[in-house]
Formats: sequence, structure tokens, C-alpha cells
Amino acid sequence: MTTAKPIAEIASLIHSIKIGLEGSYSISSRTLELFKKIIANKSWKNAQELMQLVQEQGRILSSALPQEVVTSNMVRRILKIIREAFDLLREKNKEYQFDDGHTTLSLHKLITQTSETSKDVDYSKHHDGLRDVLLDHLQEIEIELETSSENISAQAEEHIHSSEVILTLGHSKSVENFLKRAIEKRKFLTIIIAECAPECRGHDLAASLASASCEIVIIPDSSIFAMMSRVNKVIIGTHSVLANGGLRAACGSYTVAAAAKHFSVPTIVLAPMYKLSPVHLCSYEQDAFNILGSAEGVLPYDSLAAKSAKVYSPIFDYVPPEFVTLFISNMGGHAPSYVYRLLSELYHPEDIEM
Amino acid sequence: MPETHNNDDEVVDYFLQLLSKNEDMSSGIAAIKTLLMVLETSQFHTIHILQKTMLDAVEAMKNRSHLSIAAIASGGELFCRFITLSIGDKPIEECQRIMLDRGNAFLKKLLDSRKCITKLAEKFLKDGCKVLTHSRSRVVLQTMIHAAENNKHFHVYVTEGGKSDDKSGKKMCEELEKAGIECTLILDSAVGYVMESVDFVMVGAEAVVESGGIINRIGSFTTAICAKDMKKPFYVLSESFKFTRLYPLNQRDLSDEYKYPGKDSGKDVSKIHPSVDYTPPAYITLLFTDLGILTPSAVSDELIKLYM
Amino acid sequence: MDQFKDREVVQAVLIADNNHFENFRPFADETSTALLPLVNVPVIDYALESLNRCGVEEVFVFSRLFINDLRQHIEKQIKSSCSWSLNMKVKIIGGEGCRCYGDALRDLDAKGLLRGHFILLQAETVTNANLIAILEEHKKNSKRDKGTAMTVVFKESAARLPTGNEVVIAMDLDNNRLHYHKRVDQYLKEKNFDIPMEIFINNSQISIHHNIVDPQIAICSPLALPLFSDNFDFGTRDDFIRGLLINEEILDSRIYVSFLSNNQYASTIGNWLTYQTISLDVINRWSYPLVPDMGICCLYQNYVFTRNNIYKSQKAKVSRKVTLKENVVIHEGSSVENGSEITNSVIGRNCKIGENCQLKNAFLMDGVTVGDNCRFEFCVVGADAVIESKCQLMEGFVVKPKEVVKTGSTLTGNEIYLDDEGLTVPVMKFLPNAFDDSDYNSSSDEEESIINGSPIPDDANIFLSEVIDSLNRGFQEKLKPDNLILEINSSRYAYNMSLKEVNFNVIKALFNLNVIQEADEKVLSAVNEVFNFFGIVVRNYIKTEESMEDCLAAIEECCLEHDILRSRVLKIIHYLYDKEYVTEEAILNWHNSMEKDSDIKNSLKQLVEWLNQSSEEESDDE
Repeated sequence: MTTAKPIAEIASLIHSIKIGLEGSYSISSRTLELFKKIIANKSWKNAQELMQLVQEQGRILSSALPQEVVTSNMVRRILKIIREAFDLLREKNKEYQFDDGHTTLSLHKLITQTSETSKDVDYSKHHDGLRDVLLDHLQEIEIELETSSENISAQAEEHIHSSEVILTLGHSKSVENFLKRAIEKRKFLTIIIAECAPECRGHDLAASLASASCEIVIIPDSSIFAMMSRVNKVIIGTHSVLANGGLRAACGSYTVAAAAKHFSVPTIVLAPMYKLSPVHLCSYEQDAFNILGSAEGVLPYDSLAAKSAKVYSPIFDYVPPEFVTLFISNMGGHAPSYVYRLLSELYHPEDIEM
Repeated sequence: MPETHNNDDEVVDYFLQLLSKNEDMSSGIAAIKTLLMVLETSQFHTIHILQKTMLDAVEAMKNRSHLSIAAIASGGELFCRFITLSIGDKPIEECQRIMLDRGNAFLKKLLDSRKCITKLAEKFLKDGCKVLTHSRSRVVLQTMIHAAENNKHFHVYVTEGGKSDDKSGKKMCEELEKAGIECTLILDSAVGYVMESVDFVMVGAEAVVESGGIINRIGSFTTAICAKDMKKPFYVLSESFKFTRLYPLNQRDLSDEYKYPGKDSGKDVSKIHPSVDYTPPAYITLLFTDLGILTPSAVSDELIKLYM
Repeated sequence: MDQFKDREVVQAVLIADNNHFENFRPFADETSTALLPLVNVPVIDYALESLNRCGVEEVFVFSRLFINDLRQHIEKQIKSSCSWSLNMKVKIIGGEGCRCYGDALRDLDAKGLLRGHFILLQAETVTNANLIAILEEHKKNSKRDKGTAMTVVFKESAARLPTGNEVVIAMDLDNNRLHYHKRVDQYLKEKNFDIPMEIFINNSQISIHHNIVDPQIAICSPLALPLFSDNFDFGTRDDFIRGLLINEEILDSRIYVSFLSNNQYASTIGNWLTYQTISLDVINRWSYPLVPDMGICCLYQNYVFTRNNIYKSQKAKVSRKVTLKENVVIHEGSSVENGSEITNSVIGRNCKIGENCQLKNAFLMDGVTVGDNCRFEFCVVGADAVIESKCQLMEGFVVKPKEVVKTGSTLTGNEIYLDDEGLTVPVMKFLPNAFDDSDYNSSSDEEESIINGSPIPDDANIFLSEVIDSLNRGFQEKLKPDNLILEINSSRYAYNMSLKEVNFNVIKALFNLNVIQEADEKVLSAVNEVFNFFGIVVRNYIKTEESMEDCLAAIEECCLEHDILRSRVLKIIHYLYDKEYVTEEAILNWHNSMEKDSDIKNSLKQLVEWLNQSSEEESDDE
């Protein structure tokens, strides 16, 4: 357990998420912004000190908000950038031959690495200009973040054709933009939205998609299976993507995916890269994999049943990878089995365990 | 090759001695240790001879031991591969020294690998869960003991493990009980019965093949089929030196030396019970290795990277 | 938070000492009730947390009795940068000079600390309501009516147990203005409320609410403070409301009402019983997001949530053979040994629980040590107390902090007498399901009638249940039969019942009384008792032959519904005949009209034959 104290900015980020900052995009961009500030303004002498600082604060973030994995993902990204920038500078200074294999743990490496090269890189060496290089890189990530939604919805045309029936559930920002683009470009679409009780965010999505050129249908969650037989494609968003290609998505997604599988309807999941997270699902009762929402949403407090029954209102579903046909990220489409490759490119193996 | 025959006996003796001295040692590790010994004590004139000597030693270990040979084969192959990778323009003595050096470093890492797997897999053993395991596997045993030490309570079902002569399932059970873990010894034929009540299956492996499937003690495939049908996760714990360059598509593709090792080799196999089976990757949920938690498809990636 | 920046600072006043602190003895003797841990978090932190979540920026905590304890707590929390300390300033006021709530507000007024409308909250209140929305509503209202002094917030609630927070109000439906406010006494079972006639005369639409609780939340206008300053007799909020309602004209200020919507939880801890209910509500996630696993007032998550509402700290040691049934919270550093069973309980930090203990509805504060083989039911154990082995603590027993309970003691609820009338503080006990409570007959009888197979709640059923209600009460309180007849008749007119229906239902109601329903084998003596008591009532309705047939029809229906009555039908009818409630002819007519081979007809055969005989004899005599 961490003993470090959170710095004020981290504490206020945690606080604002707790009191209702929502949406993976806004949370990740806030996290990035915050670490940018830390890198730019805090005093640190070398890469090691900085990495320690980022790790400590990242750990605080993840222990305070275990559900918001995007914050941890962002921390991992930043750590990897620090490592890379450091290696780059070393290479420039001709101290070390840059080796791509160094960043991933592999059998190949395990065998070829000898005692002298396997020594951990000494990050405590000071390099001039590290700060500037880092800030440049962070700028790149920021741009990637900003454009990710646009990049995803740009692919809408490839996947949605005229007069198709699309089913989605709840309200995901990515799906909203994606479908909006599709409505612009294609005619006679029918969009079925499962309302996702008890919060019924599906209603918001319906309101925002409303347009003359497409038909919008709202259905209760209980009729997802019944509706599925006439659906051409399922398009859903997700809270995060797990290391095995499974999803941690809004509750109800499993129902949708299972029904889609039953009717052989392709299930497309929109997941920008920052949602890819290198963790595995150990068990459904894993520490904070799921959280339960308010009981009130399901049953009124005063109702007769409330005293004798327990109410569970889970927020998330785990959807196994075999139910996903395709992931669409800002980098293009990927199969679930490819997720581990993306992860090994995104994060350094030593940072996976925070 | 009569002149190397004597040498072979020596090698096998050393190998068997290593195994009998240390119960906990995997045959793959023992094989690599033996090869290191060969490398250290023999004199070579060319790289070619060195390589050949090594391969012969591996062959000898495979043929002479009563143990299943999958781990020996993969460990030996990896070691030999490692030798070809390090060939340079240097004189042979220099090469030999470097190899020894690297070999020892490699071995050191491999010895740590079990600890690494234990750490990864332990998280999946949750308080109050029920686990089915097949026969005895050292790495599974170690993982469970480690989890129990961390105050986790779970129940383990252990199958007897096919071959009636070695009582490995019973041994596993006794060892688990000694560590204070609740366990039940079941018949192999009870796997289907037990499956609905367990949370997941956790087995070891003798070898992991290129497709991401595993070769393991007979009955593993049955268990995997059951698990798949009942939608239970099937986890494999395996050190990375067990990755083997094989691509079986079915049980027949496995060579007889895998299926009928030691005393059975060369006999009429139609009358003998095989000792291992092949579990295709589609039945495996995740593999826990010292390289991290891998999906079966990631295993092929690793092997391709190595032998490319 | 940006959205609040260009507005005035949102302020709140928190009242830290409970009016009913004596309910919390012996705990309340040592420290403030606001520091009582509720599911391992001091209850004041819930209030501060919810204020913070709403976007309140400045809070004044008023304390009367234990100001130093509170100050220490608040300072400690701010130092550890707990979540409410972000974006919110908390100041402590009060102390020696302030004797009551009113004094605190007068003090605030004098210092000029409060600048605008502010939220006034009891520190023991747990709520997830969006108070800012109510504040906005209040502000809008005060623009319209310059005399708006306060908006009182209420929550509708099904009556379960008296908590001391129930109120009866009358309000104007048009503008939500409060006209009448009365706190229902926690101990007396009040049935009547006097609402002044003028209220109905002066307003076109008045709605009266009796099913509401007061979670001690209010929004005050700047106007309210001078009112407190000018009227030194305003000690509590209730005084203030009463004073304002009486002197509306003179003070030219009005009070408005706001109801919390269904999805907003609000409740105040007023005694150990409410402490128990609210603890379980929090564990059952009604107060979401103020639930244990979301980290109330701290950045880290303390618990791992597993099914059956079990919250266990990762740093707690629970041995293998421990059963955690449901609704259990175990804080870090605690250990539970083999063989123990825990249900509906909260265990604080660093507690040690021995082997084979049974904990049901037990609330253990930090550092409690419990020996082996103990049994706790409905009890509270103060911090660092030591309970040696083989103890039994039952029914609302409260162990003082640091107390040592010797081996083998059996202790039950501390009866704390409030005054000479023998009123006691409500203690923890088994919570009945909603509508079980005999105090609320109207609802319970409706339930029963539904179970009994007449699911349509038409006028007749409502009438029946009202009659049952009146008779039950009349029987219990030994009311005069004349009054009961009046009551029944007024119900009759209210539901427009015909005479036939009245006769039928009154008799049916008699047989549905609790005494008879619960009598089982002694049903006959119960019937005797009832008819002796209600004789006048019965004779008032059952006079003519026709009415007697109605009466018998009612008995027939009752018999169909209740096996015990059916088995005794012969004796019951005989009894009625003996007491001359029904005549021979009525019985015979009724008997003839029954379907052939019905159970009742068969069991009455003997009586009918005897009646026929006797009538023949009579005719023979003639």
C-alpha cells in the first residue's frame, strides 16, 4: 500500500470524479493535463525521480478510483513515454545502442539477454532537455486523445450501410458520434436503443440522435433478445477493454452481446486506445471490477419489497472476448485476439503492475 | 556412434541423479542443467561438434528416462537454439565461455520463473472459490500454497491423474492438505460431475506448443472439454522454457515418443495407454507464464519471434 | 465546480448536537453524537460529504456540548485532506455561550458570517439529496415572496416505526406554503390533530400530510436570522416554525415546504433504533453514493464488496470457518475467529472477535475485543470495550466505551427512563416488515383482505377495513359502543353503503377482529368476549329478520375464509341463537338458502334438526 500523500491536484481530480465528472474522455484528458503540469512544474532531477513521482501518484489514483481504469492507463502511457524519451536521449548521446526488443518482455529476450545487457537501465542519469522532449510527447498524446473520437467516427461509413438496423444500448459518447456520422452519410437507418435501466441513459442518446432521416426505436432492456433477430449490427461502447480482449462495459452489454451471438449478428465495440487496459479479470468479485449502484433506482425505499429483499444494481458487465466481433479504435479495426499486441505496444511491461 | 555412447550414459546418470536429488525440480530444468554440465566438461573443436553433442545429449535424456519427455525436449531445444543464436566469429574457447556464462544466466532466470507465475496466478485464486486441478503439477501446487499463505480460503478438487501406478493426484492432495488447503481427491471420471460446482480449472503443462495449445498428462483434454462446455475458465500455468516448436492438430500428430516415453518406447503402441494428450488452444482461456499472462494466440507470437 | 464560481459562496450551517442526545446514553455522555460512527465513519462526515458533493463552499458547524472533540475531529480530517475538505471551508462555532440552536444562529447573525440563503442541516442527517436544487428553488421562491423565511424539506415515507421524526403538516397545494406543523410524539400514540379551521377557510386547496418524516434539512433566507435575533424564545427549529406560523401577520414571513423526490434518501439518527435502521440502509446502498465501498470522506477505498452486501477490508483477517451471512461490514485490522457467524453487523477498526460468536445486528466500534462463544443481538459496543467470553448481549444493550464485561454475563437492553411516566428510549430491536405494525391497522387489514382473496379494494372493502379499524381500537381502548356506532355510521355515509351492506360488514368486521383472528383454539371464548363487549353495537344493526340473514351470511363468508371458525360454526350459531341475536326463522331460512352439500350446511344439520324439532313441539303444544 502506498504511503505517499497525494498532491493537491491529484486529490482534487479524485474529488471531482467522485462528485460526478464523467466520461472516459474527459477523465483521461484531465489526467493527462494534470501530469503535464506535474512534469512541467514539479522539481525533479532525473527520469527516475520523475517516474517515481508519477508512479506514486498513479497508485493513489488507482487505489482511490479502481473503476476508472483510464487514469491508470494514462499513467502507464506517461511512464512509457518517460522511458522512451530517456532511451532516445541516451542514444543521442551515444551511450547505448537503442534496441526495440528492450521494451517488451519476450522469450527471445529471455534467451538472448546476457548478464551485462540485462542490467536494469539506470534512469537516474541526468539528461538535459528531457523535460522538453517529454512535454513534446505528451502534446502528441493530447492530440491523439482529442482526435480519437473523430478518428473513430470517421470509420462509420465503412461499417454502416444504408437501410441497416443497428442496435446499441445506454449512452456512449463514441457511439453517439459514430451514429451521428452514419446518419449523415446513410439513408433509412433504423437505430434501436436499449434504454439501460435504471439510469435509462438510452433516452438521452435517442434525444441526441433524433433526426428526420433515421428511425429511432427505444426498447426496454428485457426485449433485447426479441429485437435482436432483425438487427444487422450491434454497435456498443465500453468502459474499458481488458487484456484478453474482453470488455468491462455498461451493465446489459453482456445480454446484448450474447443475444447478438445467438443470432450471429456482428458486435462492434468502439474503444479508443486509451481504454485498452492491461489487466485481466480474475473473478467477478474481483476487487472493484464491478460496483453496485443505488438500490433506489430499482426499488423505491418505501416499497413493501424493500425490507425483505436485497437490491443489486451493478454498473458493469464483463463481456468475454468471444462475443466481440471487432474493436474499432482510433487506429482502425482490431480483432479481440489482437488486443494483447496493441497493449504490448502501448505500455511497458514493468508498468503493468502499478 | 560408439565413442559417444559412454558419454551418453554419464549424461543420463547425471540427469536422473539431479531429478532424484530434488523432487521439486522440473525435468526441463534438469535437462538444461545437464546440458550446461556437458558444455562445461567437454572439449569441442568446432561449433558443429558442440551442437551435435548437445543434441545427442538431449536425445539420450529423452530415450533413457521414464519421465515424459515433453519438457526435456522443449528445454533442450531452447538451450540449443540459444547456442546457435550466440554464434560469432570468436574462437571456440571464447564461444564456449560466453555460452556457459549466458547459460548460467538463463538458468537463473528460469529458476525464478516459477515464483513469477505464482505471483501472477495467485490473484485468480479468490477467497471462497473452488478450483479443479488435474493430477499433480509443481507450479500449481506452489501457487496454491502461496495463496493459502496469504490467508485465502479455497477448495481444490484434484483428479487422480490417469495412470494408476504413480498416484500423483493422491500425492498432490496430501501436499495441499499439509499446507492447510481443503481438497478432495476425485476420480478422473468424476470431472464432469464436479465441473458444475467449480469456479475454474487450473492445470500445469508439460509443454506448450506453437498453436498455444498444451501437452499435458492424459485427461487434461477431457477436463478442458468439460470446462469449455460448462463455460468455466481453463487456466494453464507453465514456465516459458516449456514452449516447444510443435504444431499438432490432433492427438495423432503427437509423436509416439511423447505419448509413450521411457520403458514403453518402441513397443507396439496399440496396446499401451498414452501418457499425455494434446489440448488445442480453443479450450484454453489463459496461460500464466513468466513472460506474463498470455492468451493462446500470444504464445504463437512469442515462438514466432524466437525462431524467426 | 466552475459553475459556482461567479455566484455568491454557498453556505451551510450544521447543527452538531442532537436534541435527543439523552437517547444516546451512555455514548452521548462522553462525546458528541455527531461523532458517533455510522458504518465506521463518524456521522458528521456523512453530512459534510453530502454538502460537499452538492457544491457547498463554506460550512459552520455549531456545537454546544463537545466543541473541542468536534474541533479536533474536523482539524484532523482537514489535515489528512479528506474528501470534503477540498473546495469547502469548515468552521466550528458555538461553545459555552450558546445554549441552543437559536443562540448559534443569533451568534452567526451578530458576526455577519452568513451572507445569503443557506442550508441548515442536522449533523446526524444522512442524505444523498441534491440540496443545491432545493436551494435554487428556495431562492426563486423568495424572489416571488419577499417574506420567505425558510423552506423545510420533508421526505415521504411509509410508516414503519416511530422514530421521533414524523410530522403532520398542512400546506397550501398552490404554492407549497406551510400552514400547520406538528411533530408526532414519539411515545404517545396520538390519533387526533387539531388543525385550525381558518387554514381551510382562507385557502382554497390544503393538503394534509401525515406520512412524512422530517430529515432535519431546511433552507434559510437571510431574513430568518434577524427573526431569531428578535425572538429570544426561538430555541429550536420547531420553535421557530411554530412561532412563525402563529405570528405570520406580525412577523410578515412565511415558511415553505419542499419534498424530496423518491430517489433521494434522507434520514436523521435520533436514537439507537434509527441508528440501526440507517446503518442497514447505508449497507443496503439506499444512501448511494454514500456507501462503504465508495470511500466516504477518504480518498482510498477501504472495503471490497462481495455479494450479500458484505464489505470486508483487505486488511481484515476472517478465518476460514466464519460465516458472513449478509449486510456485514468489517473494517481494517479486525479479525474474526473460526466458527463465528455474523449478520447485519458492523465491525470497526482493529476489533478482535473470538471463536463461535454469534453477532446479529451488532454494532462494534473501533478496538473492541470479544471473547469466545459470545452472543450479540441488537447491541452497540463502544470503542475499546472488552467483552469476555460466553457473554450474551441482547435487545438494545449499549456497552460504554472502554467498559469491560465479565465472563458469562447476560445483559439486555438498558431501560433508560426519560421521566416518571415510564417512557423509555427506543432501543434496537427486530424491525418488522412494512405494514406489520399493529399501530397501522388500516394498512395491515387491507393487506389481509387482499391475501384472503378479495383483491378489489372497492368501497365495500375500504369500509370494511375502516370498521375493523374502529372496532379493534374500540375493543383495545374500551371505547363507548355509542361512539363506535357513530363512527361506523359516518364511515357508512362516506362510502355510501346500503343498510344491508352495513349489517353484513359490521358482522364480518367483528369476526375479523384481532382477538378472534389470533385466538386459534380458544375462538369460542373470544367470540363470547367480543359479543359481550359489542352487544350494543350488534343489536343496533341486527334488529329485523332481514338484518339477521345478513348477519348469518356474513358469518358464512367468514367461515369460508377461516378454518377454525368453520369447524366451530355450529357452536357459534348456537351461541347467537342462545343470546337471541338471531331467531330460529332466520337460521332456518338461511340454512335453506345455502347450496346443497356445502360443508357449513352439513355441520349445521344437527342444529337445524333440533330447531325443527323444537318448533314442531311448539306447534304441537298449540
